Amino acid sequence: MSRRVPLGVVRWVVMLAAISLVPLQASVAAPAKDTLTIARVTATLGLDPGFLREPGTIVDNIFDTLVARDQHMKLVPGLATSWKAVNPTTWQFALRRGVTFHNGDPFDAEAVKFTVERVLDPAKHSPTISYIRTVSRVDVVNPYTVNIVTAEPDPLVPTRFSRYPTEIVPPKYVKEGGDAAFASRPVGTGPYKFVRWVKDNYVEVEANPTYWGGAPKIQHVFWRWVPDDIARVAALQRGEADLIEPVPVAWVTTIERSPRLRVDRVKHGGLIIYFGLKTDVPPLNDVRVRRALAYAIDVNTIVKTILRGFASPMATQVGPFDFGYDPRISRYPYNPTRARALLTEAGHPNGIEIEMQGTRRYLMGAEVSQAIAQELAAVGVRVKLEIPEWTVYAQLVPVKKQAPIYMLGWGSTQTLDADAAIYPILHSNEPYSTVSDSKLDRLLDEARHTVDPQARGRLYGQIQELAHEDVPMLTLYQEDSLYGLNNSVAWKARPDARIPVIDIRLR
Amino acid sequence: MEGIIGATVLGVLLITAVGAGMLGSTPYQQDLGAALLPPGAGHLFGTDSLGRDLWSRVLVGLRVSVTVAVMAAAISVALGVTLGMVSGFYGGTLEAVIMRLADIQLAVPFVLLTLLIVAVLGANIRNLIAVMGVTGWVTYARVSRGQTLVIRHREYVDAARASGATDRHIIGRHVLPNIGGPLLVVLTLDLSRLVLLEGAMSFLGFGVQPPTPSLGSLLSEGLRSLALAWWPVTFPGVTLAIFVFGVNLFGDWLSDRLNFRANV
Repeated sequence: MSRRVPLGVVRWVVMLAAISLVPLQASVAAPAKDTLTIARVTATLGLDPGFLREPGTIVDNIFDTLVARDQHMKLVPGLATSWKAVNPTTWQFALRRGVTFHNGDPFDAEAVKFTVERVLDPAKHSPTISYIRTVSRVDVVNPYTVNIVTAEPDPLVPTRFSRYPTEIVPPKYVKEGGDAAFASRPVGTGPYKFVRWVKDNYVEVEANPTYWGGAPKIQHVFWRWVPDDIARVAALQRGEADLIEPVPVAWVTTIERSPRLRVDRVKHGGLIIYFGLKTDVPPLNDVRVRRALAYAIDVNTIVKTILRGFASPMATQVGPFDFGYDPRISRYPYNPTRARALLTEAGHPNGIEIEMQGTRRYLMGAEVSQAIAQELAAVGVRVKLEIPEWTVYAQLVPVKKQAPIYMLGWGSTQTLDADAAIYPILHSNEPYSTVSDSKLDRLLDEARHTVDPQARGRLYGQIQELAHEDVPMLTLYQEDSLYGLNNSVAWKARPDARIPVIDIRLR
Repeated sequence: MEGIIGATVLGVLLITAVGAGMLGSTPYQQDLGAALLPPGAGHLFGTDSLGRDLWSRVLVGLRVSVTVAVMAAAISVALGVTLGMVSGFYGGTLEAVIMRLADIQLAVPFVLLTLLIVAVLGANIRNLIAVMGVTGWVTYARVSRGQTLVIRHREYVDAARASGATDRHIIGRHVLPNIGGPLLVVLTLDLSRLVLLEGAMSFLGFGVQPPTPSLGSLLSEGLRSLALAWWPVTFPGVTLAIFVFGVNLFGDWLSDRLNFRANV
């Protein structure tokens, strides 16, 4: 005898079936003892180390450089076992034998030559060419020896080869697939192999068991993109992320109060935030206007209140960890009266109207932009502020499509040298520079080619003084590095902002 | 009863919002030294992370949110009523085409469309109003069409036609005034939807740009300081909730009064 199923039951069954068919939000693998999940505010736009528009945090794990930097920030052998300057313009590197790329291709001198030349190729418009512009060519002496030849003497060659864009890529694989494909499916020699990249979500890598430096302990790493501050903190608190970068300033105390979590803070470990100025666009082409802007901003109060002290006001774009730092240069003091006077002197008694762009990508970026817009308005600089999405903004800046006043963060991070901190943003005709000053250019180039450290240091002092006079950008403050960690993660944060997972242990 | 409550709530909110400028408010005046002060003397709702008075910002935010909603509604009404009346009056292929357009419109996800338009034209109030206005016409079209279908067969319409009235005259003088009642009900209820929609879009960063406040953008700003202060999120949120509640009460009352069921 057939019995009709009660309607109520049918409804429940249909509901359960429907729910089970709904794809659950792409959840990352449950944190096992050998999996590390890192949540960051920066998005991944591409994983080609020669063409990065973002920090090299992820690619540092997939690729190697000839020279590495250890936990004490000393340069040590990487893919090169030794190096020396054989003449003032040639550095010779002896390459490590028996290293293969993740796809089995051999690492040799040809790979080094290919890697460097594709970045130097003007037709490719690499946004990171500034870092190695001193190199004119790479000569293959034999399969395990290369000569890096520079146009002028360059004492920094080993340092330049310790960071992107000189992370070594496999020539055959890149040529066969093309650059665009390589950026989505990278292959390197590093401790971690690329597994997958779910765009706008996460990058997954797994341990390379045959890594020349020893197999990493942590097997899987998920690099998640979580731009929303609260979501990132929540991920840490719920155990969905083991490490987050950065911790939003409002949440530092809350996280530190939790017994399972901690905050690793590195003073001066972050980027130096500034407002770039398009110095060729009137009225910014008048130095008096630029100085007025500098006087109008109260950086000390902004650092104290909005950033809650998790930053340090800076006078120049060179940080204290960098070679070439000059502590004698001081900031323009907050002086709105002087600012207004300068504007009047420059022919703008009624102020000026100008566009400005800020970004949420840096600590409290939107709030800082608004606060500064208000302070500028108070001296007559009526700003039209826009805060575009970071992924859009990051593409505008290197091709000069941004507003005349634009927020950016820069640093030497992985180089720990003034050259990387200021050359790309002060020298004319660099992708990220909106400055064109022949005196600065001359000094910057001379400093690049000066071998004697004392003389080099003096030159960087001169450059910073000149920049201070000229105000090519509005230097604000250097962020602290703020890492939020689960206490099961044994790792000490680095001043060079790298996260080499091979050094991390899970308790 | 509910009508009186609804009307009172709305009335009070709207008057304070409109009169915000005269109450000596300072929604843009920042004072970094007075950031995140709790509600108290001098600041009824406290201050936000830049030291701006939250009371002023909530009032101006309410005004902005309501303005956006009203302007979007105006566009939707103009578009929807025209298309609805025309399709109801003439029928045939024209009606079929317009009704299919309505179906297509309803099928397009609003957020996706907004993202597209904002990516191309830029995120600002004007573009948001345009998108909200242009995509919200369907409800009004259906109501108008329904009423038009009923009215066009009435005796006075036949009489007018017999005495040589043009179509335009008939639509304008006989159909349109009769749509008014039901339209008002639908409009009132739609307003709450629009205010919430504007809130969501500004919350995501696609509408009002800083430093202009709107209830949605105030919510998103307030959320960023949630670890340190409860008031930057709570007051805008409660205001939004009360406003929507008031609008719905008023709309329900109106609907009962006019004996109209907004069955669209």
